[in-house]
Amino acid sequence: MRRNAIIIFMCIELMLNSVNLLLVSFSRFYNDINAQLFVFFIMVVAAAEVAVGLAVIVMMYRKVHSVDINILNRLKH
Amino acid sequence: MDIFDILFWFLSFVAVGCALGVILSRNPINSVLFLILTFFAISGHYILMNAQFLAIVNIIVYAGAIMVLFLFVIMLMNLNADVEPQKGRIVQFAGVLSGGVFFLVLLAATKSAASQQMVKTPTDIGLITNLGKVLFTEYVLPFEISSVLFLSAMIGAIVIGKKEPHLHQTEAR
Repeated sequence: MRRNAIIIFMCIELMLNSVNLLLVSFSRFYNDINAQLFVFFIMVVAAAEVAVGLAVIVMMYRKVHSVDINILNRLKH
Repeated sequence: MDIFDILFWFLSFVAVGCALGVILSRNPINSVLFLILTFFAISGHYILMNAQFLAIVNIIVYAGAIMVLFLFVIMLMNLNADVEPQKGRIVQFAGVLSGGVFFLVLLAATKSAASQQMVKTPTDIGLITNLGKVLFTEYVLPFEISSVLFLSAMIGAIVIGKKEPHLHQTEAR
C-alpha cells in the first residue's frame, strides 16, 4: 500500500482520466457532443484541484518534513 | 486486422502497462514519467475516437502543465524512495479482496449488457468548431463559472503555499 501523498494524487488523476476516456467513448458511440464537453469541464476541475492539492502538500512538507499520509492522522485523536 | 485495430491494441497495452507502472514503481519520479506516457496513450485513443480537440487539450493541460507541476514539487521536496514502509497484511488482503469483487461485478455487468453495433460513420463532432459552438451557446454559464473556479483555486493555492512569518516567530518563542 502506498502512503506517499503525491502518489495518491497521481492515482486520483489516473481515475479522472479513466472517466474521461469512458465519456469520450460514449460520445463516439452515441454520436453525441455533450459528453466531450463534460470531459472538458472535468479537465478544468482536475487542473484546479491539482493546484490547490499540491499547495497543501508543499505546506504539509514544510511543516512536518514528510509527505507520508500516516503522519497526518493527528486529526483523529 | 486493419491499422486502427493495431493502433488500438498497441495504445491500450501502453496505457494499461504505464498505469500499472505508476502505482507500482517505488520512485515518485518514475511514477510521474509513467503517468505522462499514460496521458499520451490516452490522447492517442482520443484521436482514434475522432476527438481531436480533447486530445490536444489533454496533451497541453495534463502532460504539459499538471505533470510539470508534479515534477517540480517532487524535485523541490527531494524525496528518497527507500523510506517507504509497508502496510499490514490485513489491509493488503482487504484491498485485493475488494478490488477483485469490484472487478467481478464489472465483468458480470459487461457480460449481461446488450451488445450493440456501433455506427462507423465518420463524425466531426470532436472538431474545435462544433465543440466551441456548443460550449459558447449551451454551456456558457458553466464556462464562466469555471473561470471563477480557476481564479479562486489560484488565490487559494497562493494563500496556502505562502510562508507565514509571524507563525514562525510564535513557534520560536
